[in-house]
Amino acid sequence: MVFNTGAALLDAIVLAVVSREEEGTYGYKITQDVRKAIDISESTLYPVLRRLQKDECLEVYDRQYDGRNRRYYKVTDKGAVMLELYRSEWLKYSKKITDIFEGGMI
Amino acid sequence: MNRQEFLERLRILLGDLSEEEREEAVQYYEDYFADAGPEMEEQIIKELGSPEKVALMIREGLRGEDAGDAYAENGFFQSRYDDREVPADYTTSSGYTGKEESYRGYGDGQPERRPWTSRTLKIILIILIICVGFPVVIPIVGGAVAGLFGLIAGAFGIFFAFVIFSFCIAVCGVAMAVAGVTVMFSSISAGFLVCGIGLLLLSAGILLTVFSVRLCCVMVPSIFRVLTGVTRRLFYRGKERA
Repeated sequence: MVFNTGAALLDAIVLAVVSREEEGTYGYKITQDVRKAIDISESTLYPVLRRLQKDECLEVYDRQYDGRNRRYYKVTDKGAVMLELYRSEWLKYSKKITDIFEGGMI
Repeated sequence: MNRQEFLERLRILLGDLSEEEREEAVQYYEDYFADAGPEMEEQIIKELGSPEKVALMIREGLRGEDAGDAYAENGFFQSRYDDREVPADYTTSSGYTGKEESYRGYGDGQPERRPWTSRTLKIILIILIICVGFPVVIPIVGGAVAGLFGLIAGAFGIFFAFVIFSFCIAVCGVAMAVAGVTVMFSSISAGFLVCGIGLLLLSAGILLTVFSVRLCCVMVPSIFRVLTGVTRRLFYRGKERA
Protein backbone atom coordinates (compact mmCIF):
# COMPACT_ATOMS: atom_id res chain seq x y z
CA MET A 1 0.00 0.00 0.00
CA VAL A 2 1.34 3.43 -0.90
CA PHE A 3 -0.57 5.36 1.76
CA ASN A 4 0.51 5.48 5.37
CA THR A 5 -2.05 4.74 8.01
CA GLY A 6 -1.88 7.31 10.78
CA ALA A 7 -2.52 6.58 14.43
CA ALA A 8 -6.07 7.91 14.42
CA LEU A 9 -7.07 5.91 11.40
CA LEU A 10 -5.52 2.77 12.83
CA ASP A 11 -7.42 3.36 16.08
CA ALA A 12 -10.62 3.76 14.11
CA ILE A 13 -10.07 0.58 12.10
CA VAL A 14 -9.30 -1.42 15.23
CA LEU A 15 -12.37 -0.08 17.03
CA ALA A 16 -14.51 -0.90 14.02
CA VAL A 17 -13.14 -4.42 13.80
CA VAL A 18 -13.62 -5.10 17.51
CA SER A 19 -17.10 -3.59 17.56
CA ARG A 20 -18.28 -6.07 14.95
CA GLU A 21 -18.14 -8.82 17.56
CA GLU A 22 -20.81 -8.46 20.18
CA GLU A 23 -18.97 -10.77 22.57
CA GLY A 24 -15.59 -9.22 21.94
CA THR A 25 -12.70 -10.68 20.00
CA TYR A 26 -9.07 -11.62 20.52
CA GLY A 27 -5.69 -10.36 19.36
CA TYR A 28 -4.97 -12.82 16.59
CA LYS A 29 -8.38 -12.40 14.99
CA ILE A 30 -8.22 -8.61 15.25
CA THR A 31 -4.87 -8.67 13.48
CA GLN A 32 -6.20 -10.87 10.70
CA ASP A 33 -9.28 -8.69 10.25
CA VAL A 34 -7.34 -5.44 10.22
CA ARG A 35 -4.96 -6.94 7.71
CA LYS A 36 -7.82 -7.52 5.31
CA ALA A 37 -7.94 -3.75 4.94
CA ILE A 38 -4.43 -2.46 5.54
CA ASP A 39 -1.01 -3.94 5.43
CA ILE A 40 0.35 -3.81 8.95
CA SER A 41 2.96 -5.97 10.58
CA GLU A 42 1.93 -8.37 13.30
CA SER A 43 3.72 -6.37 15.97
CA THR A 44 1.92 -3.11 15.21
CA LEU A 45 -1.33 -4.00 16.85
CA TYR A 46 -0.44 -4.71 20.44
CA PRO A 47 0.61 -1.14 21.30
CA VAL A 48 -2.58 0.14 19.65
CA LEU A 49 -4.79 -2.26 21.62
CA ARG A 50 -2.96 -1.42 24.82
CA ARG A 51 -3.37 2.30 24.27
CA LEU A 52 -7.06 1.98 23.42
CA GLN A 53 -7.45 -0.08 26.54
CA LYS A 54 -5.78 2.61 28.66
CA ASP A 55 -7.90 5.27 27.02
CA GLU A 56 -10.91 3.22 28.13
CA CYS A 57 -12.07 2.70 24.57
CA LEU A 58 -11.55 -1.04 24.92
CA GLU A 59 -12.03 -3.34 27.88
CA VAL A 60 -10.47 -6.76 28.27
CA TYR A 61 -11.57 -9.96 29.88
CA ASP A 62 -10.25 -13.49 29.93
CA ARG A 63 -12.28 -16.45 28.85
CA GLN A 64 -11.48 -20.14 28.88
CA TYR A 65 -10.72 -21.48 25.47
CA ASP A 66 -9.08 -24.76 24.59
CA GLY A 67 -7.79 -25.26 28.12
CA ARG A 68 -6.22 -21.84 28.47
CA ASN A 69 -7.20 -18.27 29.18
CA ARG A 70 -7.70 -16.22 26.11
CA ARG A 71 -7.80 -12.45 26.34
CA TYR A 72 -10.81 -10.83 24.71
CA TYR A 73 -11.19 -7.20 23.72
CA LYS A 74 -14.52 -5.45 23.72
CA VAL A 75 -15.54 -1.90 22.79
CA THR A 76 -16.68 0.22 25.74
CA ASP A 77 -19.36 2.91 25.60
CA LYS A 78 -16.63 5.49 25.30
CA GLY A 79 -15.07 3.44 22.52
CA ALA A 80 -18.38 3.31 20.68
CA VAL A 81 -18.67 7.10 20.89
CA MET A 82 -15.13 7.45 19.58
CA LEU A 83 -15.86 5.06 16.74
CA GLU A 84 -18.92 7.08 15.76
CA LEU A 85 -16.80 10.23 15.74
CA TYR A 86 -14.15 8.55 13.63
CA ARG A 87 -16.82 7.29 11.26
CA SER A 88 -18.34 10.68 10.60
CA GLU A 89 -14.92 12.32 10.34
CA TRP A 90 -13.82 9.68 7.87
CA LEU A 91 -16.90 10.24 5.74
CA LYS A 92 -16.16 13.95 5.50
CA TYR A 93 -12.48 13.43 4.92
CA SER A 94 -12.79 10.71 2.29
CA LYS A 95 -15.46 12.66 0.45
CA LYS A 96 -13.22 15.71 0.21
CA ILE A 97 -10.29 13.64 -1.01
CA THR A 98 -12.48 11.89 -3.58
CA ASP A 99 -13.79 15.23 -4.80
CA ILE A 100 -10.28 16.49 -5.30
CA PHE A 101 -9.18 13.32 -7.07
CA GLU A 102 -12.09 13.52 -9.44
CA GLY A 103 -11.25 17.03 -10.47
CA GLY A 104 -13.79 19.05 -8.54
CA MET A 105 -13.09 22.36 -6.89
CA ILE A 106 -12.51 22.46 -3.15
CA MET B 1 14.43 -19.33 17.71
CA ASN B 2 11.18 -20.96 18.70
CA ARG B 3 8.13 -19.51 20.34
CA GLN B 4 9.25 -20.29 23.87
CA GLU B 5 12.61 -18.61 23.38
CA PHE B 6 10.98 -15.67 21.68
CA LEU B 7 8.61 -15.05 24.58
CA GLU B 8 11.36 -15.58 27.16
CA ARG B 9 13.55 -13.06 25.39
CA LEU B 10 10.69 -10.59 25.17
CA ARG B 11 10.07 -10.94 28.90
CA ILE B 12 13.72 -10.18 29.63
CA LEU B 13 13.77 -7.23 27.25
CA LEU B 14 10.77 -5.71 28.98
CA GLY B 15 12.40 -6.28 32.36
CA ASP B 16 12.40 -2.65 33.43
CA LEU B 17 8.72 -2.08 32.73
CA SER B 18 6.15 -2.55 35.43
CA GLU B 19 5.12 -6.14 35.95
CA GLU B 20 1.63 -5.37 34.73
CA GLU B 21 2.85 -3.96 31.42
CA ARG B 22 5.28 -6.81 30.93
CA GLU B 23 2.80 -9.58 31.64
CA GLU B 24 0.15 -7.91 29.55
CA ALA B 25 2.43 -7.81 26.54
CA VAL B 26 3.80 -11.30 27.00
CA GLN B 27 0.34 -12.72 27.46
CA TYR B 28 -0.78 -11.01 24.26
CA TYR B 29 1.96 -12.67 22.27
CA GLU B 30 1.41 -16.00 24.03
CA ASP B 31 -2.22 -15.81 22.98
CA TYR B 32 -1.19 -14.77 19.53
CA PHE B 33 1.02 -17.81 19.00
CA ALA B 34 -1.56 -20.13 20.50
CA ASP B 35 -4.37 -18.80 18.33
CA ALA B 36 -2.30 -18.90 15.18
CA GLY B 37 -1.49 -22.55 15.78
CA PRO B 38 1.86 -24.33 15.87
CA GLU B 39 2.09 -24.59 12.09
CA MET B 40 2.22 -20.80 11.85
CA GLU B 41 4.82 -20.42 14.58
CA GLU B 42 7.82 -20.11 12.32
CA GLN B 43 6.14 -17.68 9.99
CA ILE B 44 4.99 -15.42 12.79
CA ILE B 45 8.42 -15.31 14.37
CA LYS B 46 9.84 -14.42 11.00
CA GLU B 47 7.29 -11.68 10.50
CA LEU B 48 7.60 -10.25 13.98
CA GLY B 49 11.29 -9.89 13.22
CA SER B 50 13.00 -10.12 16.56
CA PRO B 51 11.98 -9.84 20.21
CA GLU B 52 14.03 -6.64 20.23
CA LYS B 53 11.87 -5.07 17.58
CA VAL B 54 8.67 -6.14 19.30
CA ALA B 55 9.94 -4.79 22.62
CA LEU B 56 10.86 -1.52 20.93
CA MET B 57 7.35 -1.14 19.59
CA ILE B 58 5.81 -1.88 22.96
CA ARG B 59 8.00 0.79 24.53
CA GLU B 60 7.23 3.30 21.83
CA GLY B 61 3.57 2.63 22.41
CA LEU B 62 3.95 3.39 26.11
CA ARG B 63 6.11 6.40 25.43
CA GLY B 64 3.58 7.71 22.97
CA GLU B 65 1.01 7.59 25.69
CA ASP B 66 3.10 9.84 27.88
CA ALA B 67 3.69 12.26 25.06
CA GLY B 68 -0.05 12.55 24.62
CA ASP B 69 -0.94 15.01 21.92
CA ALA B 70 2.48 15.03 20.31
CA TYR B 71 2.06 11.38 19.54
CA ALA B 72 -1.26 11.89 17.88
CA GLU B 73 0.03 14.91 15.99
CA ASN B 74 2.95 13.11 14.49
CA GLY B 75 0.95 10.04 13.73
CA PHE B 76 2.87 6.86 13.71
CA PHE B 77 3.86 5.16 10.59
CA GLN B 78 4.62 1.60 10.16
CA SER B 79 7.71 2.29 8.13
CA ARG B 80 9.18 3.86 11.23
CA TYR B 81 9.38 0.41 12.69
CA ASP B 82 10.01 -1.54 9.55
CA ASP B 83 12.99 0.53 8.55
CA ARG B 84 14.60 0.51 11.94
CA GLU B 85 17.54 -1.78 12.17
CA VAL B 86 18.32 -3.36 15.47
CA PRO B 87 22.06 -3.13 16.01
CA ALA B 88 23.80 -6.47 16.05
CA ASP B 89 25.36 -6.02 19.48
CA TYR B 90 21.95 -5.15 20.87
CA THR B 91 21.14 -8.81 21.11
CA THR B 92 23.97 -9.50 23.53
CA SER B 93 23.14 -8.76 27.12
CA SER B 94 25.90 -6.17 27.53
CA GLY B 95 24.76 -4.32 24.46
CA TYR B 96 21.27 -4.39 25.78
CA THR B 97 22.02 -2.56 29.01
CA GLY B 98 23.80 0.12 27.03
CA LYS B 99 20.78 0.53 24.83
CA GLU B 100 18.47 0.55 27.75
CA GLU B 101 19.90 3.79 29.03
CA SER B 102 19.03 5.50 25.84
CA TYR B 103 15.48 4.32 26.37
CA ARG B 104 15.51 5.96 29.77
CA GLY B 105 16.54 9.09 27.97
CA TYR B 106 13.47 8.84 25.80
CA GLY B 107 11.38 8.25 28.87
CA ASP B 108 12.29 11.67 30.29
CA GLY B 109 9.96 13.11 27.75
CA GLN B 110 12.62 14.66 25.55
CA PRO B 111 11.46 15.03 21.98
CA GLU B 112 13.02 12.68 19.50
CA ARG B 113 15.96 14.24 17.71
CA ARG B 114 15.45 14.75 14.02
CA PRO B 115 18.21 14.16 11.50
CA TRP B 116 19.99 17.51 11.09
CA THR B 117 20.67 17.00 7.40
CA SER B 118 17.09 17.14 6.18
CA ARG B 119 16.58 20.89 6.55
CA THR B 120 19.94 22.10 5.28
CA LEU B 121 19.82 19.58 2.48
CA LYS B 122 16.40 20.80 1.49
CA ILE B 123 17.52 24.44 1.33
CA ILE B 124 20.55 23.54 -0.79
CA LEU B 125 18.35 21.51 -3.09
CA ILE B 126 15.89 24.36 -3.48
CA ILE B 127 18.67 26.80 -4.38
CA LEU B 128 20.05 24.30 -6.89
CA ILE B 129 16.64 23.78 -8.43
CA ILE B 130 16.06 27.51 -8.74
CA CYS B 131 19.51 28.17 -10.26
CA VAL B 132 19.42 25.32 -12.73
CA GLY B 133 15.73 25.17 -13.39
CA PHE B 134 14.82 28.83 -13.83
CA PRO B 135 15.99 29.45 -17.42
CA VAL B 136 14.50 26.15 -18.52
CA VAL B 137 11.31 26.14 -16.51
CA ILE B 138 10.08 29.65 -17.38
CA PRO B 139 9.87 29.15 -21.20
CA ILE B 140 8.40 25.69 -20.78
CA VAL B 141 5.75 26.87 -18.35
CA GLY B 142 5.08 29.92 -20.54
CA GLY B 143 4.68 27.74 -23.60
CA ALA B 144 2.43 25.32 -21.78
CA VAL B 145 0.21 28.11 -20.46
CA ALA B 146 -0.02 29.74 -23.89
CA GLY B 147 -0.83 26.40 -25.49
CA LEU B 148 -3.51 25.78 -22.91
CA PHE B 149 -5.07 29.17 -23.54
CA GLY B 150 -5.00 28.47 -27.28
CA LEU B 151 -6.80 25.20 -26.77
CA ILE B 152 -9.42 26.80 -24.56
CA ALA B 153 -9.97 29.65 -27.01
CA GLY B 154 -10.32 27.09 -29.80
CA ALA B 155 -12.85 25.13 -27.81
CA PHE B 156 -14.84 28.29 -27.12
CA GLY B 157 -14.70 29.17 -30.82
CA ILE B 158 -16.06 25.82 -31.83
CA PHE B 159 -18.89 26.06 -29.34
CA PHE B 160 -19.71 29.57 -30.41
CA ALA B 161 -19.71 28.58 -34.09
CA PHE B 162 -22.02 25.71 -33.34
CA VAL B 163 -24.49 27.93 -31.52
CA ILE B 164 -24.44 30.52 -34.33
CA PHE B 165 -24.86 27.79 -36.95
CA SER B 166 -27.92 26.35 -35.19
CA PHE B 167 -29.37 29.79 -34.73
CA CYS B 168 -28.86 30.54 -38.45
CA ILE B 169 -30.73 27.39 -39.43
CA ALA B 170 -33.65 28.49 -37.26
CA VAL B 171 -33.61 31.98 -38.87
CA CYS B 172 -33.48 30.40 -42.36
CA GLY B 173 -36.45 28.28 -41.40
CA VAL B 174 -38.43 31.39 -40.45
CA ALA B 175 -37.46 33.12 -43.70
CA MET B 176 -38.45 30.10 -45.76
CA ALA B 177 -41.79 29.76 -44.00
CA VAL B 178 -42.53 33.42 -44.74
CA ALA B 179 -41.41 32.94 -48.36
CA GLY B 180 -43.69 29.88 -48.55
CA VAL B 181 -46.69 32.03 -47.62
CA THR B 182 -45.92 34.45 -50.49
CA VAL B 183 -45.38 31.58 -52.92
CA MET B 184 -48.79 30.22 -51.91
CA PHE B 185 -50.44 33.08 -53.84
CA SER B 186 -49.06 31.78 -57.18
CA SER B 187 -49.04 28.03 -56.50
CA ILE B 188 -50.71 26.58 -53.46
CA SER B 189 -48.87 23.20 -53.46
CA ALA B 190 -45.40 24.77 -53.96
CA GLY B 191 -46.26 27.29 -51.28
CA PHE B 192 -47.11 24.56 -48.79
CA LEU B 193 -43.93 22.66 -49.69
CA VAL B 194 -41.69 25.70 -49.12
CA CYS B 195 -43.61 26.61 -45.99
CA GLY B 196 -43.29 23.03 -44.64
CA ILE B 197 -39.56 22.89 -45.33
CA GLY B 198 -39.18 26.24 -43.63
CA LEU B 199 -41.03 25.05 -40.52
CA LEU B 200 -38.97 21.85 -40.46
CA LEU B 201 -35.77 23.91 -40.65
CA LEU B 202 -37.06 26.17 -37.88
CA SER B 203 -37.72 23.29 -35.54
CA ALA B 204 -34.37 21.65 -36.39
CA GLY B 205 -32.62 24.96 -35.78
CA ILE B 206 -34.31 25.49 -32.42
CA LEU B 207 -33.46 21.94 -31.42
CA LEU B 208 -29.81 22.35 -32.40
CA THR B 209 -29.58 25.70 -30.64
CA VAL B 210 -30.94 24.27 -27.42
CA PHE B 211 -28.65 21.28 -27.74
CA SER B 212 -25.52 23.33 -28.39
CA VAL B 213 -26.27 25.76 -25.57
CA ARG B 214 -26.77 22.84 -23.23
CA LEU B 215 -23.49 21.36 -24.45
CA CYS B 216 -21.78 24.65 -23.66
CA CYS B 217 -23.31 24.69 -20.21
CA VAL B 218 -21.89 21.24 -19.54
CA MET B 219 -18.54 21.56 -21.25
CA VAL B 220 -17.42 25.06 -20.26
CA PRO B 221 -17.48 24.47 -16.49
CA SER B 222 -15.77 21.12 -16.88
CA ILE B 223 -13.03 22.71 -18.95
CA PHE B 224 -12.56 25.25 -16.21
CA ARG B 225 -12.51 22.51 -13.65
CA VAL B 226 -9.79 20.62 -15.49
CA LEU B 227 -7.89 23.86 -15.89
CA THR B 228 -8.05 24.75 -12.22
CA GLY B 229 -7.18 21.17 -11.38
CA VAL B 230 -4.02 21.36 -13.49
CA THR B 231 -2.92 24.73 -12.16
CA ARG B 232 -3.65 23.69 -8.61
CA ARG B 233 -1.56 20.60 -9.04
CA LEU B 234 1.28 22.61 -10.51
CA PHE B 235 1.01 25.11 -7.69
CA TYR B 236 1.02 22.47 -4.99
CA ARG B 237 3.89 20.61 -6.48
CA GLY B 238 5.86 23.82 -6.49
CA LYS B 239 4.92 24.46 -2.91
CA GLU B 240 5.90 20.99 -1.84
CA ARG B 241 9.35 21.49 -3.22
CA ALA B 242 9.74 24.74 -1.33
